[in-house]
Amino acid sequence: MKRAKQLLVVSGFLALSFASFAPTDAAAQTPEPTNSRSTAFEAVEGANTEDVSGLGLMVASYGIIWLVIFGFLARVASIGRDTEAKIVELEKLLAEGETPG
Amino acid sequence: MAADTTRRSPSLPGLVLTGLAAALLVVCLYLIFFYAPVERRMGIVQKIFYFHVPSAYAMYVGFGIGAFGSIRYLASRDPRWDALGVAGVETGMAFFTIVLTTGPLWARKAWGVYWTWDPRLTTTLLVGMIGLAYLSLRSFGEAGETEKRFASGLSIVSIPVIPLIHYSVQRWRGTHPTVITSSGGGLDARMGVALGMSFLLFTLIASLLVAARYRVERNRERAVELMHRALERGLGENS
Repeated sequence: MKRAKQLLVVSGFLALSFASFAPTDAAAQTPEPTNSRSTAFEAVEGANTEDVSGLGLMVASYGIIWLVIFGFLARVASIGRDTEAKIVELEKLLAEGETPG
Repeated sequence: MAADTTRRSPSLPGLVLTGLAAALLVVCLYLIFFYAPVERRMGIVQKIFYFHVPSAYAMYVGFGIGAFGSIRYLASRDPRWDALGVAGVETGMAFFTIVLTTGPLWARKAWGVYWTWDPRLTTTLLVGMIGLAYLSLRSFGEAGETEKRFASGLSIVSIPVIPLIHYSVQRWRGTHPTVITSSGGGLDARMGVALGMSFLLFTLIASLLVAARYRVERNRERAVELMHRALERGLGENS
């Protein structure tokens, strides 16, 4: 479990490093030849599929915020419970060790 | 450093502050959705701003506390300051996650893309990478003195980056909005009230999270100490 956590942290770090040093889109930097550009605008058939719902993005944002905060709290509570159990176990062990016989 | 807080049931001030945060959350949600007007150009998606910006501020608070704890730990080698460093950086990382997910969701609507290498976005990513490096270092086994010292050094590196994030927009321009300025200006008064209350809420949440994580880290150190003591006496090797 611990190993998996370590791997998760390291892979996250590597992914972020890769993202930050990845080259920017070459196509955006080099000017395209004129003939490769769009030369006409055509109407979409049916509903406008490019439209992004602002409400959906906002709901997702608020959901993520509370997911992260409560996730963090759940993790802290979980570590706290495990640690408390470990302390009780170790204190019992040390008390038993000090008892003669 | 404050008195030892290990292995205690939640304190009365902690419970009061948690209740206050819950009440403040309700007030904030009312102000954001019923009091503050909808932004003319962006529409409803602008409401992300009320929690996104205070999250960024809470991230500064978390990393700031982490760096402060790390400096004090390097100076005194007192494990309580190290625990504060861990609590600060982990809380900072939680808010970094919020900032880095809510920002792109807003940007998709406002800019048409989830991500762009804007100075503020890039410097925010940089501080997040420092935090992730800190946590990576701390995650390898029971952190010894050397790991703790290296991690503290890493945490201190975030100190110059935090003002860099804040002033990057003025220094290098970029596309990030700058509605909060010293001259006031770009924010409707009702939006300002909602944002102000959200700042208060997130300051409280960040403080509570740091306190909760600090308490757990102190307990974890106590467990490690007991384990070493048991091993010294030849106890529990088979358990």
